[in-house]
Amino acid sequence: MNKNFKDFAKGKPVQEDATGGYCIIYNRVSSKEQLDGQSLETQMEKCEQYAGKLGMTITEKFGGTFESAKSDRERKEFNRMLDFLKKSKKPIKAVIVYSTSRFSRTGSTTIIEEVEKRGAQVRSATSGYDPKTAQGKFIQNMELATARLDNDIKRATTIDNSISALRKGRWIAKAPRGYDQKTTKKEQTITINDEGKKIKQAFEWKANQNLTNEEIRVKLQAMGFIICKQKLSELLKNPFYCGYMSHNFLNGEVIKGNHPAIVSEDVFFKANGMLNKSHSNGYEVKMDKPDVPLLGTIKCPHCGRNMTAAISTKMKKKYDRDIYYYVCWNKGCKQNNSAKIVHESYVDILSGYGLPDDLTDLLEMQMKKTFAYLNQDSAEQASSMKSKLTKIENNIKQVEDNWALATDQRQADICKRKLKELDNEKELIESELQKVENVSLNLPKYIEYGIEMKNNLLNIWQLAELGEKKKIQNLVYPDGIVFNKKIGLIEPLSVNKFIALKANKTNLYDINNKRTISQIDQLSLNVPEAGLEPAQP
Amino acid sequence: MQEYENIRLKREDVIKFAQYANLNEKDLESLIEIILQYSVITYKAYNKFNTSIVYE
Repeated sequence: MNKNFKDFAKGKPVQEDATGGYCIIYNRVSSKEQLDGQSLETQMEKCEQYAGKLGMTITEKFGGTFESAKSDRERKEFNRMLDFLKKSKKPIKAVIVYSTSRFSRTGSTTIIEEVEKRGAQVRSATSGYDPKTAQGKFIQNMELATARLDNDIKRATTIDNSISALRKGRWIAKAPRGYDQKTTKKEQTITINDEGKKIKQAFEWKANQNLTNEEIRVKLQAMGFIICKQKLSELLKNPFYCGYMSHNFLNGEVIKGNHPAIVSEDVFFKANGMLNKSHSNGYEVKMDKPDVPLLGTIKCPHCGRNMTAAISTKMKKKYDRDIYYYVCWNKGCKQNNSAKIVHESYVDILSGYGLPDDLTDLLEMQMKKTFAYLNQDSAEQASSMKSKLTKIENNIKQVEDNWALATDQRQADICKRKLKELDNEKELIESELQKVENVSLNLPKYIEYGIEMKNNLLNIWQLAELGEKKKIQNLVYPDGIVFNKKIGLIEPLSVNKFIALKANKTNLYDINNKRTISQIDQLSLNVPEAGLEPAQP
Repeated sequence: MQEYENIRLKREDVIKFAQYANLNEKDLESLIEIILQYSVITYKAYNKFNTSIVYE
């Protein structure tokens, strides 16, 4: 054939025999154990011998570490090898592997095709097939498929073992925050660590005080437990913390685990019951808006369902601020009440209620117990916050020193930014610490305050944070309240029978919540002896 | 108030007072609960009240 025709020919010319030329070696092991067991050394030796047999020169070796072949794309060394094939100036004729299963276990031939696109063949040192022949290719494909099958069988066995372990109460993944875990093949030990105590506190805040997730997040942060709002929400929904396990392998079942519970089932359900309460009648009722604290307490007078809150866009445009309304979205109800008017009426009626005087002895008895318990809790929190504060102050000092020694603007900017972050964190902890330390007060004054304030639930309500406000609402009006638009007044659906209606509520109506105890002393607390008769609103 | 279970007043403590001796079980439970809740809420309110005085 005239040599000039070469330029017009189609198809690739038949390559010469694989003997001679350049090759690379790729090896891997799938676990650290195999790495320690010198499996790699054995593989490499075999591959080198095979390259020598083919008369090929090894230009580079890849692998030498453990990486899984379950996903071809996630292997670093594997990708480095593909990259080398693409960029190599020397024509690489073969990628020598110990066995085809070392190359890929996905069963896919795509990855081999990629190597071939780069002009090389994958050759197995243990099989010795020639992948350029139909028979060789068949064997190669069979080995790939077998590797995949082997993997699938192993996976199925692992899943079965995992399910069996889960059913025996053994956790098969990393234990969540709040736990320390020691797992060996024979046994597993999961213990509650220091973070676990803070998580317990978070559950209790949610369950008992109905704090919002944001309020809990801030309190935790002040105690040195950093978590974002979304993760906190996930944490509070994780049954692991009350001793149960939920896992995809369990197909919808929740099983009791062997690990210790951080909170009781009751606290867990209560905390989550409150989360669920935020969804009512298909609408999301925002329970955590300080501007509308009556959410959850105020019911629609028409259908009896919880009312929700809405902001009037028209009024927002007009006054450039959020104007809230309590609304019922239920078809046909058409309930829409200005939050301002509702609150005025609420303050009016709440100012009329208090605890009757004949409860004083019981109250005093209970308050002594409560004080002893909560004061201890506050002392622990304060200690944790103080320790965190010391750490931050040390960090601030360190950053200030670094700033002073900064040699360029970039370093100075980094120090400045870090310092601002630390200052903010310090401010937050100091503010929370102040709150906690103020709780560590003396018992007689607390009792004095409690007895005085029993006649003034309104003042307590005004001082309380959102979660506590809701508690007071539930305490006084267990079935909730409705707003009668015609007369512009709140009407309780029921009032706790141990709450007394004061004869002359106007005495306390305009009380200022910043008043001192001595000032409160001067007020006339005219509460009738309601005794055990149901109080009438 | 599961958290405060160990500080809740005992039934025996309450019925020592003559005026509560004849309460039925349901009312007794309700009374103990309201006393407990009030004491906890007041404790927190007192904390806030004192904080406001400190900063005023």
